[in-house]
Amino acid sequence: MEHQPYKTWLSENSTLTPVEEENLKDHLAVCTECSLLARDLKALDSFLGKAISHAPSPGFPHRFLASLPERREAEQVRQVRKWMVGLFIALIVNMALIVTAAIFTRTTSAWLVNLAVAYGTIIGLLQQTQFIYRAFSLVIPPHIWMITVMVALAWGLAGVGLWVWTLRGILLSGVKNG
Amino acid sequence: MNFSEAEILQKALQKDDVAFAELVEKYQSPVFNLCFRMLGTEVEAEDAAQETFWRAYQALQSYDQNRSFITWLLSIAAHLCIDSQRKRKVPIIEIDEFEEFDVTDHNPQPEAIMIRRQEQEMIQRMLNGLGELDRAAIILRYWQGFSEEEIAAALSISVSAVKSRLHRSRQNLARVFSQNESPFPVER
Repeated sequence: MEHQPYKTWLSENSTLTPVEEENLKDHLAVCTECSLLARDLKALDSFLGKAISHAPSPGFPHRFLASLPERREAEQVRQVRKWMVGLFIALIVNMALIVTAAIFTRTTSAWLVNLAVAYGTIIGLLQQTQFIYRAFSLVIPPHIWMITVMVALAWGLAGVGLWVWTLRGILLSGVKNG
Repeated sequence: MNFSEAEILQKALQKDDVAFAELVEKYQSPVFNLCFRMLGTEVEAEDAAQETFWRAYQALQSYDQNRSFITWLLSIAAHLCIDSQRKRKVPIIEIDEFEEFDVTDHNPQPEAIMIRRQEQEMIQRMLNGLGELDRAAIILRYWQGFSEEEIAAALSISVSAVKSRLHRSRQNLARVFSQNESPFPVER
């Protein structure tokens, strides 16, 4: 005997048209399997319909409010930790890019272009990461941006200075072959 | 959402903790009940419900006000409990806990208490036999009275997936229910 679509109608508790309802009624009258399913589903609905809804113990909102300072602090620590890891990775990538640029370029202009590209990439990456913004807005005061820019500039100037110093040495002593 | 709730929500959106606590007060029961039915113990349900409200508190700015607040809240709770269940794998039932927070039982007779405890034990055992998503769908259907569309929105799955899960879960539950010797009278 074909049990579809009757089983689906029963299990999905579908809204049926009068014709469908009549068909279902006729089918249930002759099909033991479907009539048992209908009986079990009805019993289940009745049983679960009576099931109680559990509530928390009194003072739940108060406990939530009381936990807010601790939760905020934990979230700040998590964000700062995340930011620090991000910054550390960005610095490693930055250094790797600078070293790569130094190794694979021979001309001064190409070196500078690569350096600029490396910094641009890092700054772009940092700007795209939302957690930086969150960490800054939650924990670190606004003027920290100036300190970050100054540190980045100092880092860049130190790199350029080192490069100029090396270049000066080569220019003064000349390249010696053999 | 009624006017006063919209007002409370507006205040909560402006970082008013007291206003948010009013939302917690209003929705604590459905959130806790979902967590309890999903996780099976009061302690875990309390932690999950508190965590749900904390996540909602953090994400309140991203809440779409055209959407039902309770659906959004229960969506957070359901996903939290599903993740928790997947990490835990083995469900734990503390049957002794059922009696003490039975909020609707006004009949203190020992027999009635015993029957209620057995009912709760059986419900929890039946729910624990379902997969996490199926269980969440069943809880939202039976305890929250959610439509298939609302369940789909809460669980981030399609309406057809909800239908299929409810179909399968109800058949399984009905089979398990009929196979168990029921110690209490059920209208058949």
